[in-house]
Formats: sequence, structure tokens, C-alpha cells
Amino acid sequence: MADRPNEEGNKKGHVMLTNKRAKVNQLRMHLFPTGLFSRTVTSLAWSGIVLFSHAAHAALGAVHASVDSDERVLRAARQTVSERGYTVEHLDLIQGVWVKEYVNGNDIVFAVTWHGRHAPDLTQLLGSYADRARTEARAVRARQGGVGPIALNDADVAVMFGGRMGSYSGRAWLPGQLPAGFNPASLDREVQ
Amino acid sequence: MRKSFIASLMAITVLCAACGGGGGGGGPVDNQITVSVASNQFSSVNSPLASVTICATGTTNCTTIPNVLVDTGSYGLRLAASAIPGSFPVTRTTASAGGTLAECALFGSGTTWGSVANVDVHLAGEMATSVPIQIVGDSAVGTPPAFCTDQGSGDMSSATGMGYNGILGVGLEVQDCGTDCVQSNAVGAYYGCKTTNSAACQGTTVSLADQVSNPVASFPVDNNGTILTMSSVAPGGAASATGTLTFGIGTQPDNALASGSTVYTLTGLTTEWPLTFTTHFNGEDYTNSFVDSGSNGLFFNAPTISTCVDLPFWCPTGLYSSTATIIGVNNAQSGQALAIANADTMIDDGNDYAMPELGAELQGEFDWGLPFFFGRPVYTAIDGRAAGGTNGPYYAF
Repeated sequence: MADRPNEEGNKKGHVMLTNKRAKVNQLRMHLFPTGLFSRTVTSLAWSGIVLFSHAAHAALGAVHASVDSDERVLRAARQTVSERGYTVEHLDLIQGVWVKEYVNGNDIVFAVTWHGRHAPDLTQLLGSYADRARTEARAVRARQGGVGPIALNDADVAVMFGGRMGSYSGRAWLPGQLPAGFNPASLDREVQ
Repeated sequence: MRKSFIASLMAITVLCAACGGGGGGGGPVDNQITVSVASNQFSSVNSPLASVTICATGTTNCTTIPNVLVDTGSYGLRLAASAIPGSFPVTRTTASAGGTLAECALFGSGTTWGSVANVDVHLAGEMATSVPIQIVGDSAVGTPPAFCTDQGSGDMSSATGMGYNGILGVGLEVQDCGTDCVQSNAVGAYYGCKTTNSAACQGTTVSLADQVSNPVASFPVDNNGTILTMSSVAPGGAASATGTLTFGIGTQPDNALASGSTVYTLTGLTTEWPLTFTTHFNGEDYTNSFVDSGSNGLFFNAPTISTCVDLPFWCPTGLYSSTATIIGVNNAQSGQALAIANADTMIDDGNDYAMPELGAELQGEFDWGLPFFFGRPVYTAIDGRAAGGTNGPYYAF
């Protein structure tokens, strides 16, 4: 949060982008709701998730192919959905966590979102932005207090850690990588 | 003042300990504790704080910890190891995977790492017998490992990290993980630690009985929820606000659902957006909405409000006021006024700790934090428990 002037500019940029949120299809495309997993498969697949969590960092800012790594490391069921001007990779984690990675026309992951009753490995999802986001989040929290949500808005990356115990949610995006006309407020809207 | 308050609380506690903790026998149980939003050692604003007494299980060896956050958004008591006197006997739980049971608990603003231990929790005349709590920052399970901090937005595994001596989670659920952690060792919440080298702790399954749990749910009576009632605070803020946390809903003359309050039921824990209602605001439906006394502001999406230059809150030049509609899963609806004032003005004067118009920008959810609680009772009914004619989970206000 060092660069406040940029943050202001960034916010204004968001406002300017509000020309109709890219109307995302009403696709409730979760082919793998939790109920469809058998618990036997579940328990096998879950073991080791923690140990492997640093095998490869991918996600935000990385190339489209990096989603393969997230799918493997997060033990996720994956569904790819094409939207107008971008692609959404739905990663449904077995323990009740829903992750989405948004890929732009240049094959870059420009946003990630997560929600559910647990949290995913955010170092995996935020990739090279993870350490910086945590450093800034600690600084914000020191001034904000409470145990509620934290929002970071830098010129090049925005991260929002939200929700509370039993119902977590969050999102991160790269303002410089948004598809034309894409409003970050529309992230995750395809299920809301 | 603080000392006399603690002393009176201790007196109540000792009395109750003498009762034997059976509860429910004779007259009504004392079911209210005092909650205060005021100047505190951590300079935490808009934070409802209470004192909590813990006793070694089955004994009168007790200690009272002040400045614990009353949090309707989490489940279970967490106390900073540094806030517990060294003389207090802590009996840590053994993990099914071997070693000491440790937990990585996740909040919106970060993670707490620490051991799990059972104690008797005394709140007014109520007692939760041998309930698992988290000892945050307990050196017995080492420093917070990367696999814990990886899940959150920052480590809060100390009193200063939390901004409180502890967090009293009296929210919608009984356990802080539930059946997921009974069935899997890889949820990321519970670990067995055989040494203080936390990096070597192993994920473990943990029974419901050993999970850190909402102490209210373990009371013999008044165990179906809570009512947090805070005094109203004048616009612009005040040095303090007082209130009560009442245990039970519809179980005693003092905790009936008020005639002016409406029940808003919530989505289930296993749904994709758990434990939420809908807020209709500025033409949008925010299905990811909740009330939470542990959030110290109103957090929602309103990009037209200016952000402060040096604080992570909003700083409009004039008062921003609007209305939103809260819609429960049961389709109960109500319009709610909301106002946002300049956080710089409110915080920089240094005297105000209760701020009904504090808020910040957040996308993807609508978090009705402590400002929502000022001036009204807010009921939080525990998942699966009948409370005043309706099963939890629900909020009523």
C-alpha cells in the first residue's frame, strides 16, 4: 500500500471500466458438486495435499498452462468455460472450496477467486504476488484491526481476503491484464 | 475500574464453581456478560471486548483473561499463550496422528497457529465443561509453519497479532471445522506435532469432540445461540459503547426473541456459499452477505466513496448514507440504513473507539460488521439447534 496515488488512479480506472460488466453466461457449470464425490475417493485424494503444496507456483500472472499445476496440486476437478473475451477455469476442490482462474486473450491468468467453507492454498493461487500481498495485508491489518476482511489495491495488483470462519471468499486481479471492458466487480458473478 | 470489574466477574465465577456446574437446576442461570467497546491496550477500534474465565477442568484453579474479542463470525475460544499465566495448568490434546494436537485457524484477516487444550470455560453463570480451546502462539507446537500462513492473508499468532488477548467465537457453528476434519487429514486445519519443529507437523483427522468448539454450544442450558446487544452510538462516534452478550435464545425470560426482531435464515454449511443471506444494494444482489461482530466496519462494494489516504477505510468528504435490503433464505426482508463517515476524522481524534459509520471497500461480499450491531439486539442461532421456534443457523434483528 505504499503507492497510494497509484491506488487512487487504479480505483478511478475501475470506475471507468463499468461499461456493462461483461455479461457472463448464467452457466452454473459445476459438473462436480461436492455431493458427487465418493468419500472413499476423497480421502485418498486428500492425503498429501499439504506436503506437495509448494511443488509449483502458478496462477495469478502466470500463463494459461500453469492452471494444470494448480489442478494437480490442489487436487481439483476442472471445468473450462469460454466466456466472451476470456476463459474461466473452474477448479472444484474436494473439501468444499471453489476456485476460479480467469485467463485473458494473451493466455495470462488475470484474476483468481475462491470461496467455500475452507480456504485453498493462497500461495499456490497468488503465485509470485503471495508474499507481497501478505506483507501488505499485515500492514493494513495493523492499522485496520478486527478479524474481518482485508482489501489491497495497488496499481498492478488488487487482492481481497474476505469471509469468515466456515465461509471464506476472496479474489485477486491484475488491473493491467483485464480484458477490454471487464469490470472486476463482476468476478464470481456467474454463480451469484 | 477494570480491576474491580474483573474482581466482580471472578466473584461470580467462584460462586458458580461452587454450584458444581450442573446448571438448570433451580432458578434461572445468570446468562449475561458485559461487553465493552472502549480504549484498550491494543488500540483496537470497534471491537466488542469481554473477560473470559477459564479453569483447569474440574477444578477451581481459574484465571480471568480480559480484552477478548466477542466474535459472532467464528467458533471456539482462542487465547494468546502470553495472556495465560504460567502457573495455569494447560493439558494439551494428543492428536490421532501422534504428537500434540495443533490447529491453523483461519480468519478473514489471517491465521492463528497454536495447540489445542481442554479447559472449563465460565461465562457469567454458564459453564462449558472441558471444552477444546486454541492456545494461540503456544511454543509447544513451534512457530507458525508456512503450510498454515499459506492459507491466509497474514499470521496473527500472538496477542499483538490478533489485536486482542483472545477471540471468543460464539457464531453459527458448534465446531470450527466439523465433519470435514473428522474424515480427512488434509483440510489444512488440524495437525499432530511430535516436536516443536512445526514444519514437520503432520495433518491429522480429529474427532468432533476434540475440535475447538463454540463454548456456548457446550453449556448445559442456554446453548442454542447468543444475543449481542450493544448500546447505540451517536453519529460521528463516541469514546465507548457498552453492551451485553446474552446466552440462549427463548430459553429464559431475558432472552426471548423480541417482538420487533425478524429471523433471517441462512444457506447451509455445505453449500457453495455457506451461512449467507442476500443484500440488495445499488441494484445488485450480494448473495455472499453476513453479519459479524468481529469485523470492525461495514465492508461492501461502493467505489464512489473515497478511500482514506493513510488508512484502509473510507474517507468521504461528507456523510455517505444509503439503504440496503437484507433478504434471508426464508425470504424475510428488511430495509437497513447504512452510513459511512470520514475514518480519518473519527480515528485521528484519538478518543473514539465506537464508530457506527466506519467502513471500507470490499468486492464480492457484503459484511455487516460491528456498526450494524449498535443500538439493537442481534441474535445468532447455532446450526441445527432449535431457537425460539426456528432452527439455526439464523440471524435475527
